[in-house]
Amino acid sequence: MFLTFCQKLIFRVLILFFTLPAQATVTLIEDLSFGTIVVSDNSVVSDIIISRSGQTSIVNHIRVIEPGHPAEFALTDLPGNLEVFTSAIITQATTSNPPPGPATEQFTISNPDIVASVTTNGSGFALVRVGATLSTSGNGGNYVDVQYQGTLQVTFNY
Amino acid sequence: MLNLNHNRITKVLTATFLTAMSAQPFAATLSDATISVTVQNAFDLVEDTELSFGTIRATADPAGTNVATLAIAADGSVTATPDNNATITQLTAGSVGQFTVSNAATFTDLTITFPGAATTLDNAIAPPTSPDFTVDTWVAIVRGGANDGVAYNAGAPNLQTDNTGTVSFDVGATLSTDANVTTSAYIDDVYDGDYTITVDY
Repeated sequence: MFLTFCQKLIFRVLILFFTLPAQATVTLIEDLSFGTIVVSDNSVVSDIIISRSGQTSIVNHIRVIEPGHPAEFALTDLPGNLEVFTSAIITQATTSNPPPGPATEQFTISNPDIVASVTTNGSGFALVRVGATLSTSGNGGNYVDVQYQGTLQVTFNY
Repeated sequence: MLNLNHNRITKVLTATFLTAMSAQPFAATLSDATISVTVQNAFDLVEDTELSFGTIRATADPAGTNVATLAIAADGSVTATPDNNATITQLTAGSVGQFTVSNAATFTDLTITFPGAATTLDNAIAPPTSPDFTVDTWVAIVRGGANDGVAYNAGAPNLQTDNTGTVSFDVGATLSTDANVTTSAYIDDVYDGDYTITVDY
């Protein structure tokens, strides 16, 4: 009798163990884009900063033609009111060009801007946005009119 | 026997709980995203209207000492200045040169660079010793944007694009009779030449 009770208890604990934690589903809503810009003078380092809230700031000789936006991730399939800790790293900090790559200066990406934690709503849903800083080389070289790319990685801990 | 089983079960339960409790609150999910930026340093510059001094009557000083001028200001007003035996009289109106910049950054001041040397207007079938014209003293006025109607200031460039990255400007210049020795008169025909204007950030 006691053994049967204990066996059930162990089974339930194991069920609990294998059920929790919930496995979050992370969906990339949109990539981080600095938009379309003009580098009017590369004799000094110029920056374009897109914050996680979507604000754009310019330092020195960059002009914006089409505005960019932060990366946006959707977290789903989590318990409600769960605090999720977030962090981001730039996994490709020096940009490159899709082939065939032209001879051109490259940008440096730094300072990922992400909230330290986010709490899911009652449905287990949360949005996380990531901004960053894009810097020119500042060495006087020219930027060819093409697209430049880098990558970032976000970690969600819960 | 029952005690042994009980102890063993208790240990199993404890171990299971500890394992479950230690593992439960932590999971990590990684997700990647692309970062991109597109550079568009180039913009469009179109000549909407050619600069023309119209139809004129002109006489050059054969000695090349006296030079008459016909100035078209950027606003289109014309001033003829004779110099003794060198004369220019406008018979029919010309037009300022008109240019439009588009697909540039919004609300950005652009710089106009005019030709560094005088442009020569000549006629291919005129006698070799006949006079030519020269064009210099370039001026411009901004059309559109925040500085609409304001004279272009080369010292502090004010050709500012509007909220669509577009701005226009009109160009004037001064036409002069030949300052070299010539032995025949201007012929009744078109005298033309090319000039280069550069606009950049």
